[in-house]
Amino acid sequence: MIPGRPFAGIRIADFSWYAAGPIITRFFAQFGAEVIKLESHAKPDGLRQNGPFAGGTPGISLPASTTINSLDLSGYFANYNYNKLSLQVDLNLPRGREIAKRLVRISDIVIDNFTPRVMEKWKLTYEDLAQIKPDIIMADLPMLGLVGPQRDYMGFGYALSSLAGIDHLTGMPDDLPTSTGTNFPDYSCNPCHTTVALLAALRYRQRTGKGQHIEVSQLESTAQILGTAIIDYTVNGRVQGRRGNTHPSACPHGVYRCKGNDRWCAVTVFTDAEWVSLCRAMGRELLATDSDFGSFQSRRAREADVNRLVEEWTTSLSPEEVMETLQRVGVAAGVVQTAEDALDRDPQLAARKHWVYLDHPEAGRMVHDGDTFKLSRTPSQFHSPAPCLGQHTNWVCQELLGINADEVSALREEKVLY
Amino acid sequence: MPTEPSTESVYSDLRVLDLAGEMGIYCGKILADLGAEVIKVEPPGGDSCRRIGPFVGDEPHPEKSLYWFQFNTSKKSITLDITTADGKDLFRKLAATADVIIETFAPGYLDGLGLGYEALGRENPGLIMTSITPFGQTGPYRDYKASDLVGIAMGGQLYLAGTPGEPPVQAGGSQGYNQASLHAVVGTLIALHCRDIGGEGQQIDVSMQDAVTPSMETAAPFWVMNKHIRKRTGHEHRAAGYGLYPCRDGFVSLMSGARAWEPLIAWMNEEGYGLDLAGEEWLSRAFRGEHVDEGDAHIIPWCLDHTMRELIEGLQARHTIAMPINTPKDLVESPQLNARNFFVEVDHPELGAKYRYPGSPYRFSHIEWRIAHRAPLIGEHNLEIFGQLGLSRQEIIALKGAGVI
Repeated sequence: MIPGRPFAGIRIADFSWYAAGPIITRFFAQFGAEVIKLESHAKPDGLRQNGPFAGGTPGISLPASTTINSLDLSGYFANYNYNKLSLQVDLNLPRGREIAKRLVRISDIVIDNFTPRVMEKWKLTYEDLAQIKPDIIMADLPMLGLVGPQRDYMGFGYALSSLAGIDHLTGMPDDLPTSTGTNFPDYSCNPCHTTVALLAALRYRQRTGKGQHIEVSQLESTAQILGTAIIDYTVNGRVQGRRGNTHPSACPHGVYRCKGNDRWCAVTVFTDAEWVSLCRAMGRELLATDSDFGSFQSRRAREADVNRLVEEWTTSLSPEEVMETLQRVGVAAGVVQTAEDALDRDPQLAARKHWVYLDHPEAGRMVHDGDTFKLSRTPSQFHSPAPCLGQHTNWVCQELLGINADEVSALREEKVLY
Repeated sequence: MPTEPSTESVYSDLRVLDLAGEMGIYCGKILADLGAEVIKVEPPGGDSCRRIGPFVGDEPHPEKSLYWFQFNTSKKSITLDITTADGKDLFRKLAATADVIIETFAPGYLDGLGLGYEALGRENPGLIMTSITPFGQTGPYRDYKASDLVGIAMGGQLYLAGTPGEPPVQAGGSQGYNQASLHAVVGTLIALHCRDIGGEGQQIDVSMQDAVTPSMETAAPFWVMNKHIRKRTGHEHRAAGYGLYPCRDGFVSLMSGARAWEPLIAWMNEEGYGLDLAGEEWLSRAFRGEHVDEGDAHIIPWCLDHTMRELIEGLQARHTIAMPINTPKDLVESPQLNARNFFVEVDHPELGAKYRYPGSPYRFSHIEWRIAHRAPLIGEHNLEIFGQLGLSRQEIIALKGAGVI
């Protein structure tokens, strides 16, 4: 094994785009696989057109498609695509698809997260590709699966949260369903489930020599992370609802306003002993021994009072002061961190060297999510920034596919490699 | 997709000792349903997760926790007090037979018992030890405590959710714990891959806070590149045609992004709505973001004239994104999930019932995924597992009397 590169020798033909797919191949790229993105001018990875952009305007609060000329300036794209290569090839052209197939023939894994009709239209389905590379491992991640009456439904993570029930469970009980504010299932749930499946398939291939087809319906994957909501319905007939920041067996349990503009601290008390510690930390000795608040049931019965008492204290302090004071006495509390907190203030993430900065040739210094698990013997690697569109077209065509330089030039002119 | 008639487990050779609480409970389920032998190591009397509701028939009982049922399918259970001398000795013997240990104790706790990675790995160099904690094994906050809410707060996810002016709001379903488990299982299987290709075992340090940070989406690059702080936006529409919209019988989630706008407007225009939105300027996503109210003044009345089903089927047929706001009941009744036989019946013979569970997150052509059996009863596999270590039935009974098992 090459130290630190357990996936050395594994090549991935990566047709995936946006977030859920590229985050899967990011795991492989972090540990030494060669990941080659197939993109084109007509169909680049969609995140290249979503902000923030280097040199962009402060105050644009949400990713918006813009008319920005360069496809190489997105920080959203950069985060999920470091250590990867980009081959620019137009898959809408038969000769483009021929090149894609040549790449598949020398790859171990193929992945896409289009609606089912895209790979079908291009004749690049598992059945097609297994004919030219019998031991290929292919993962498809359509939103609702490759089969079924709603298989062609389109969506992104934001809409998937609604579809899979996360939004229904999120928000205040007297309010409408509230989203997480993001494309939530894209970032951990669907990438991690699919990566598990791919690692299982690699192990299977190692043992049997056989490849296989993996299908991840993003709806079925996301339906795993609803806690007990499904089984509570199938067993008890109960439709769980929204409960804001409350917890069925903890009180106080919430997010409390602190000193400063829009600053908050989460405080969660699970035992009576923690309640006593909280009261003493707040300087409320009498409250600590007040039997009206001594048990969970008694606190739950006056939850509004409990929350008011806690917030009276927190509003005079910064969230960091609340957290540190409570953690010292063994109460779970944490700052509701903004990006500025997490990137520039948090001593824990700094001590763990969590954020990774890489210099991008076009966009300059870019920030990337760091490790979400640290392996003691085979640490992950962050060696190159996200590729510019088509940055590795020549290298892939000439070195891997054996297409000579003249032919590559001709294919560029004919807009096959475009 | 066509599933071949014969599939087989790819982890049947794998033994996992699962000492995880809520933060890591899902990690072991993923391995167990893929065929690994996952053994819950519970303290005598039962794991504290058995006290988490809801319960069958709302009757609190350690063998009726639906939380326990959901996250422990296909696992085995033994009871063992690892703080006693005999318990430690048995645990060491068991660890020598294991490939993976998953644990969520505070950093240093197992080391203090002489059962940390260093001690156990010395005797079993192939051992993979996955340690899941709120903030990781290193750093100034390593001893801080965290619940799910604290984890998503510190990981930067919570700040992005909720209504402006109101407190940020927690995502339903314990997403801090889920993310810690999900990243832990990926790390565990990468470590297993390293071992399969000739490497040794290793220790995996999973911090819930680290595992949550990817859910900040673009907040980190917006801060670093543009010095802009992303905030929560609640029910504000991101752009005209983008967000939660009321319709005749409920709500739909519309996501009229780049290419999805034109088909939406074409349909509205056919029905006499939104003629003002047909102009060129509305094709720009940025323009729609700056003219939300103007656009919505046409889109909302049109939505209110349609049912949820009309909107979703009609817009999806036009390749535009519209989704329902599903409840758990809607999911269980979903025509798509049922056409695909997603839900799985699991037999609970002690309760005289079969319950429907969510099925697999993935489907393979050659690898088996199944719920082998319902979650284990307390110490259900004591005789089997301790017997394999060479203990006689009498010895097991004696250890039970001593409170070790």
